[in-house]
Amino acid sequence: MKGIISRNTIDKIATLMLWILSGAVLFLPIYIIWYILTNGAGVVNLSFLLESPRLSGAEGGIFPAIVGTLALVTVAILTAVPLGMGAAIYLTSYAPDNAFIRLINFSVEILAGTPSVVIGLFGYAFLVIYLGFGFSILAGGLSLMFMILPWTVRASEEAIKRVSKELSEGSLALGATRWQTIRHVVIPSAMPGITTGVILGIGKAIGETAVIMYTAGSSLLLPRSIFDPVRALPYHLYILASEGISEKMSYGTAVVLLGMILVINLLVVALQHHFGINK
Amino acid sequence: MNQRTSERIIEASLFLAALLAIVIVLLILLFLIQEGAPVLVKFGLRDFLLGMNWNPIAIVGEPSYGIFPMVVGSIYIAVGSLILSVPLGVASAVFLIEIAPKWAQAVIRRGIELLVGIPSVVLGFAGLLLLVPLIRDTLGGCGFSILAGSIILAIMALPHIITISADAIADVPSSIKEASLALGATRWQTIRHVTIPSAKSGIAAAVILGMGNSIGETMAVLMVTGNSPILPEPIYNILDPVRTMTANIAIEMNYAAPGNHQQALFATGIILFLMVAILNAVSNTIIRSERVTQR
Amino acid sequence: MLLTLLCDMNMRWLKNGTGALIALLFVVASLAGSGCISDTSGDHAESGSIESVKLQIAGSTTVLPIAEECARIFMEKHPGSRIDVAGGGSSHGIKSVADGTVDIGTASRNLKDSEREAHPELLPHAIARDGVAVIVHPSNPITGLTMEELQQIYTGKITNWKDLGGDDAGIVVVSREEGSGTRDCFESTVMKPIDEEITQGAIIQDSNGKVRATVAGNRDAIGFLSLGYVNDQVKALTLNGVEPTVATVLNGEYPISRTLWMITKGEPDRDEKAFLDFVLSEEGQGIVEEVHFIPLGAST
Repeated sequence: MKGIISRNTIDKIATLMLWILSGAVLFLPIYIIWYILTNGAGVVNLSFLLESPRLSGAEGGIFPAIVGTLALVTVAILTAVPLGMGAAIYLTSYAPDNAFIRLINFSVEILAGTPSVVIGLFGYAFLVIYLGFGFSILAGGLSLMFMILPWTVRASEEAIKRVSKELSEGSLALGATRWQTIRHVVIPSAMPGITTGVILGIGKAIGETAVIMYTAGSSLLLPRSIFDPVRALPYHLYILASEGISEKMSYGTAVVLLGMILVINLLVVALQHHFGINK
Repeated sequence: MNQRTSERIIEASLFLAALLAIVIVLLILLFLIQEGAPVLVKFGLRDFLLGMNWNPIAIVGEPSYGIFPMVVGSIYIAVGSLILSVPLGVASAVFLIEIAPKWAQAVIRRGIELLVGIPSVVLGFAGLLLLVPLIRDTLGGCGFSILAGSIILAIMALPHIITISADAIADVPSSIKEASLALGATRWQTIRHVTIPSAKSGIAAAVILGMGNSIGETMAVLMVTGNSPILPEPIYNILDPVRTMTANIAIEMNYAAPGNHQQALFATGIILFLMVAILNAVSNTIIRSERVTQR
Repeated sequence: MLLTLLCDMNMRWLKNGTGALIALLFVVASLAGSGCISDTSGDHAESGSIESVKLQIAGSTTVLPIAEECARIFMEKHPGSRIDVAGGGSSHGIKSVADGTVDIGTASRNLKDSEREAHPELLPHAIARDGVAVIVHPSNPITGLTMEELQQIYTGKITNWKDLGGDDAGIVVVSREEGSGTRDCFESTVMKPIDEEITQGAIIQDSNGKVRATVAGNRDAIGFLSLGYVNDQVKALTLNGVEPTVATVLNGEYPISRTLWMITKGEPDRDEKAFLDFVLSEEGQGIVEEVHFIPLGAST
């Protein structure tokens, strides 16, 4: 009874439904971003970006929080990238296939899945208290490193695996040592992939709150060294919103935070365009 | 000779970098256990895990540290988010791979990246201002609810579900699909009866991993779930507030006095860490065995 | 594995070439950012006047606005000074000052007996007063409660507003998290006399702002928060007929109130004294008022 027509109708309906559902998925981020922008864009101006907060952030700007975020992310990236790349090079180019290496890979996955609040607890107990770093850029930045390290390892691994075998075998055949080959052949070719991974890592680190809440402190002063506490943008936003200090300033801070994330996204897009998008 | 030495040194330092992942995971376990175990020993793992009452600063009688309602709360919200995000995510993945024209693919991939990029605090903030009032006004209850937490988590889980499902679907050999189409099946019939069943285990892995991620999410959830440390009443009431394990740590850590209270929060962290690690391991095993059988 | 796949997606769009430049720019920009900061503060440090005060403060998030704003103005007046203010909670503040990690700890509750015994050298200085107001939605017809009614609401014995002469609607009880100084103040005045706990069914919010937002957004909610946070989005109830105001808190008529503290280890040293004197000065107490707390010397 259900002939060919109804099969085709079902096909059309299903296709339409898929269009609508996917549209709905896209609609969400756009709506949330639009909502924040329309409410907060008016607050953002040069003095908002460059002044220090007054009255706990109810007035003035968010400059120290911007500096705090940049400082934390810098520490995290400067530590995570060399370590992550090193680990990736070892895992792809040196590691034998044995149980221990599988254990390393397993640990990378476990670390990637560890809830951010647990990393925050650990950072507090280990870095802040045990190592005596106190609430500081160092403690917060290293905690962020723990979070993005597995992503850096995986991104670098993928990029290195994509470097053609012939290229590195050619280099080895010409008498270069393994490390010379890695340094002069593999890493340069893998660099765009690694860079994209790093930028995505920066994006993750910028938006993170639970990790830094108990490790970086909440000072609104400009830091002088990596042993000073800072308050990063997302935590500042959280405090502004949850303490009910100023809704206006919360939206403004959210706009700046989203702006930074958008810039990162655009960077990735630009990179991909630069190297040619394919699927 | 000299070159060989330097090669050795380089290999050794690269090995140390690789070793770091294990070291960090072990340190995390060590410190969580050191800080959290005393309270588990004192009150017993069973009473901690299955205790119904969370009352760390008691006015009457002894304090009690039972996190069962929060374990349930975490699972409840994670499952709720999957019920919402899996159909939507798989649908989008199917669309992305099988139907979407090139421009729509590009747009969706950008949209997914944007969605990943929205900080969880911003998402929670939006949830507090938009979602909680909406639920209260349309469905009743107080708005802070399992439902609100599930929706926010579903939004956060979507990109991961879509990405992994899309990969699983893309991995389905096109010969199978073409055979189905050649036999006269419509595109939808092929998707439903051939493509999705073939990608099943990849999608299952995505679901389990999504569950792990959802259980671990903190900031967005605690802003919209109400954080009452009790079971919903009745148990299936998704409009009731709950507290997740992550929220328990984040909310009380600030004021928890060193001693039993702070230890109980670290102990909550141990349970949380183990639950998520197990889910991750299961998900990895599925993906790995799938890859092996496909090859 | 998700990682691998996510990265896969991105890598597929990449072919070759190098984008290190952009990453480098990023790092350089951030470095330049932190670099120029240390420069500017370096300038200040050299201008060291007699009163170039160096202090670390940590503790109660309730006291945070007072400490932050006082520190800011103090540093403006005494260039070269540096006062780092952090939160962490009252317990954290008391512990930190006791073990010497910070110079001044702040607390929004009194020292507990256990803390006094463990650290007899701690010296609390009262810096402000605060009342804890009971709030409802502005449209709620109820304008006041007796202490007994409030107790029964928070123990979960009265669950409907109609039992109090209000609308027929279930009461949504909102409370603070365990350990909060505001909750401690509320519990010790309201719950302790009847030896009962706050109902486990209460919605828990972890800040004054969230409690206010919750009550402002829910017709049937009741909550409590620091008096300074009451605004026109919520309605403060009278308690036993007494309105919560600066005057009634100060003369003790309004029952739920507390003192905010700055705590030093032993007698304050020169730097600590300079800052405490400022907080207690007319200007400092003006700041207390500006951030919505009650100055010590305030009169009606």
